[in-house]
Amino acid sequence: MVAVTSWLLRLYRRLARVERYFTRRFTPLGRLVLGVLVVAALFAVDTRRTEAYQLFSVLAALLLVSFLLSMRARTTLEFKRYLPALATAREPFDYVVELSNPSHRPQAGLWIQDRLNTIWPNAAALKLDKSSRPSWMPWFAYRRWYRVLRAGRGATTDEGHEVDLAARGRTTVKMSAHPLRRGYVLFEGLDVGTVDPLGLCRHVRVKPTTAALVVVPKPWPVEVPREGFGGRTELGSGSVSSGIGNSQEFHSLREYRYGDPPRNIHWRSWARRGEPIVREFQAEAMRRHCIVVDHYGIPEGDDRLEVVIQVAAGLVRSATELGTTVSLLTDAEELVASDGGEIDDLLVHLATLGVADDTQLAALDERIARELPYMSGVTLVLARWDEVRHTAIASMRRFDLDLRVVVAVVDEDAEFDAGPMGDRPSHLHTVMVSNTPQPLVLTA
Amino acid sequence: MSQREQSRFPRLLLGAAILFWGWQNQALVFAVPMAILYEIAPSFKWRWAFDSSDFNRLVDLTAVLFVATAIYQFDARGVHGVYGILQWLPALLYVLLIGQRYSARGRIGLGSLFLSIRRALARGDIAREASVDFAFPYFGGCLLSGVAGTVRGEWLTPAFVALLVVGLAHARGKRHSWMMWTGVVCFAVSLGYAGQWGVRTARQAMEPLIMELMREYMVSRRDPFRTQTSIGEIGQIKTSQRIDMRVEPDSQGHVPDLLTQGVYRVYAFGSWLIGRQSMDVLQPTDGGLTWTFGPEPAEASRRELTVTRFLNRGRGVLAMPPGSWQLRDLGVETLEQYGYGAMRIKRGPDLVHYKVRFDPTRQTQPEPDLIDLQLPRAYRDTFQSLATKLGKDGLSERERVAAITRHFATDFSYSLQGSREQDELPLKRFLEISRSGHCEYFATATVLALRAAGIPARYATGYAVQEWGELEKAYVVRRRHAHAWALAYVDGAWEVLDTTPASWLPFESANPPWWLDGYDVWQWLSHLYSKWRWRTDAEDEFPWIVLIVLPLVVILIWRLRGQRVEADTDIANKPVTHPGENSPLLTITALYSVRDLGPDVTEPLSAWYRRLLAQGHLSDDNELFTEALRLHDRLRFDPDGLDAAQVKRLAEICERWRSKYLA
Repeated sequence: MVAVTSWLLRLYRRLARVERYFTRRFTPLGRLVLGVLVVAALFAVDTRRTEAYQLFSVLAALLLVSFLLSMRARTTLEFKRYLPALATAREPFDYVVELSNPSHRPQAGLWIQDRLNTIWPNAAALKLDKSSRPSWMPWFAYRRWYRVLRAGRGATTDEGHEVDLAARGRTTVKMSAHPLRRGYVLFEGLDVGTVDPLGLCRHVRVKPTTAALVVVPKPWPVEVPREGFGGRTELGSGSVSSGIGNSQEFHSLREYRYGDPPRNIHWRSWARRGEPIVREFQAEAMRRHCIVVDHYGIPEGDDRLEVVIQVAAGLVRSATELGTTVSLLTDAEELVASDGGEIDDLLVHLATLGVADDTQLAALDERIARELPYMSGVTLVLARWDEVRHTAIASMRRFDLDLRVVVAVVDEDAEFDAGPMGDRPSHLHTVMVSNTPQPLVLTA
Repeated sequence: MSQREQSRFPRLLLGAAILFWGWQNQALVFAVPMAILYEIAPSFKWRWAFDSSDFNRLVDLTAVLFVATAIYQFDARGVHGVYGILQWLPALLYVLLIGQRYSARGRIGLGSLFLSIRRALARGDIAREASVDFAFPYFGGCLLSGVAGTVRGEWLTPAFVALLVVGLAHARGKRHSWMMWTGVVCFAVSLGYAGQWGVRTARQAMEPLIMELMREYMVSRRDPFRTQTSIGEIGQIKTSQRIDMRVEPDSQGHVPDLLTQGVYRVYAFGSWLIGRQSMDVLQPTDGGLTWTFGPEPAEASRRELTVTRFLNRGRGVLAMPPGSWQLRDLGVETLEQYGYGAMRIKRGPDLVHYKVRFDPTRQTQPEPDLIDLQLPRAYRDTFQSLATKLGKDGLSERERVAAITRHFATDFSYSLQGSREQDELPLKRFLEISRSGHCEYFATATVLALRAAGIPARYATGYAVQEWGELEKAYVVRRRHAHAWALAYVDGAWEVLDTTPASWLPFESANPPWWLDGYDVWQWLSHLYSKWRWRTDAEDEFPWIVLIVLPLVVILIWRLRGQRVEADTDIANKPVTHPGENSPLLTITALYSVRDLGPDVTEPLSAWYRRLLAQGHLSDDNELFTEALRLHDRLRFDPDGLDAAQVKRLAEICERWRSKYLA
């Protein structure tokens, strides 16, 4: 069986290479001519019944001449790729490639296409693919393998662009890509092709230039309370106020946000700037809402892990938009926190998050306890709702913390036991694992 | 895709392609309005606001039309229905084309064309649906349908070449000049014309070979024990060059002209039937290799032939010389003898090599009865009037036979015509109109004419032994040597009466195919292999497998030779070297180890370095030492290693490290 799988995987790799060869080597028109040629060849066998052999020989001659003429071509080209700082999974983005022609000869009719790093899927990667039902026919298995291959690349790029470059000229091409998943997308070069006089075949050369782009998870639609996540009335080692901005130590001025107490309004600044300005106090500036991302012991490829990460990204974005400082608690040694409304670090952290050891779950309450002075509340985004997690939540609740739990569930109809959150059902939420996310609404 | 996309297909070209299709398929009455409707679209400013679901419906409608047409065509024309589908392809796909043309979208999404993509889109697996301009594949379909049409003629190629050239001119890249493009197109089209001639010639040359292979395949699957033969069956294999048998003559160099395979008695509905007859399962003697089925004749009249022939999956009917009485060296499991002389092997090897003993003077056919005088009702009048015309009354049996022989020898000629004709009364046509045919016609007409003249007659099939094979040094009997003749009961004995003009063998041997010599060599080699493969005295022979294995063993020993030298060098005592073991950084770690500060066995050097920093054993030069670690790692793990300058740099850093902290 192992030998068969290995043989099939080798066959798929060859097929993918052939497919890639044909799409690069032949223009769309060339592929059309090739298709008609194949059909004509089938009917050309019987020269008495049809005259398909006439069409076959003319098309074969056109393709042959075109192919031979495209064997060699001279292109001198320099390019630079300008990628965005971050991209979001499943959201197409545009970027720019700047091309310059250092030679004295104009370069007309160039064809360019970006080339992404290819990691050939192995049997283990195929097993992780949950995107379709198991296939038993090799051909369908190939399509499935190819889907995994595309997912491994992380994105799809444009079919190709035609560019004209004057002698010593420079131009920019707007290209687009469509990220398929979070993580890194590696660009390993640019395919540059020149088309033969008949426009059927290309001579393609690869201009290697590597670049990496981080694709952050697509945030789950999350609605957080306008008045914020709420806060604690008492900390373990001192007393602070319960609302936002109640501490007595002045920290800075900032714009008014919905829910700010009127007594914090700094009237003089409002008068000077013409918009409401409030005083921010030190405790508020230091306090953060902590989002615990449950990636502990989740099998790789499990859809629930992706949903948990997307929900965490949604929480980060929505909370930050309302002015709340948030931090992420994962298996990383330190908390990753938003800085002055900037959430890029958090999203990058989520983009590269893998699976963590489930033994770390038991120590989660200790890590919360350590960070307690800096927390205004905790939202746990869980991939499972089992005994281990119940115990961890029960342990966390002794901190008198504003604790919310969001659980990713697979089966909508399955009975859901509130467990340790039974006495606070309003702080327990579920999200369905689905390709079409339903908004998560958190109540005050 | 809410915005309308401009089709990149050149104006009027698709309309011309539709007209080309209509012209070639005599469907201009459809093609003209189709082309006009397509090409006048730019005159209208309105467009239908089709979305994906509308296109899905159009595709579904097209699919239903296609399937219905396919069912009708295959039902009406059998497997050739595929040509009918091809001829009507542009009409079947037109709904889709015109839907695209008059839609605001201007293209068709792949989700509409492929169910798998449609489902993936519905599931949300695909975020962005690719689309296609259907005009391009439709253009290809028009060309294919056009060349599958019935009109053809000398303008066919110029017409589709013109369409192709216009299309290519439209797609011409800006990289090349018009002059170059024109030159390339002219060259390619000329090459295409030459290719057409090449295809035609190749086909003419290859067709007989392909037909031969197909026929061989069909014959190999035919039941060898059929109890009937139809007129035309032998005619069908008259061009086959396949060698069925090899016959070695007796010590005097004699072979019989005919080898009989089957004798038939009843003619009905264009076929000869064996009729009811006895069957004996023969028992061998002499260790299972000798089969005797007749009395041993006198020494003087004994003759012997050696025959080698292929059997289809170990089964077949043997072709025997007249008067056979014994088979020798025939290693088969079951041999059956039928009443009229047929010998059937029911289980045996794929190739038999045997000796057949016969007495040409011996009568093996049973006595005639009324069946041997029967005429089919449809031909009764025809043959009765022929017999009357030949003057059956008042002539002796021998004179009647001679009259019939004369009749077929005078006004009749040999040809392979008629073998595929589906006449209701082929013999009537043969006798009265064409007067030309192959052996089956002559033999059948002779048998029926003899019967009409009151002489019992039977129909025999088998092979003519005529061609000497230089490779084999034996007579080769090809499949096209299959023959039919009449057996006439004259003066109390069965006689062979072959009225087929003697010119039939030279006629069939004329104009041999170009590949015959090569094919014969191939058949001879196959024969040699099969003879070796199915030899009966295998136990005593040289073990040929040794000849195959021996070179392999020699190669194996040759390859192992190098390894033996390795083994002699005593690897166990040879010091093992690791890449990077001469790294100057290892001197540093060793010096730290002396101070009990060296890295643990499981501790990477980077972690060890951080530990030294944390414990305050290093104070500055962080970047420098990090570079040393990096160079050391490259020395160890990079297959290309370090160049001389980098090695020098690593040594310098380590020296600085040593002098500063370990002096």
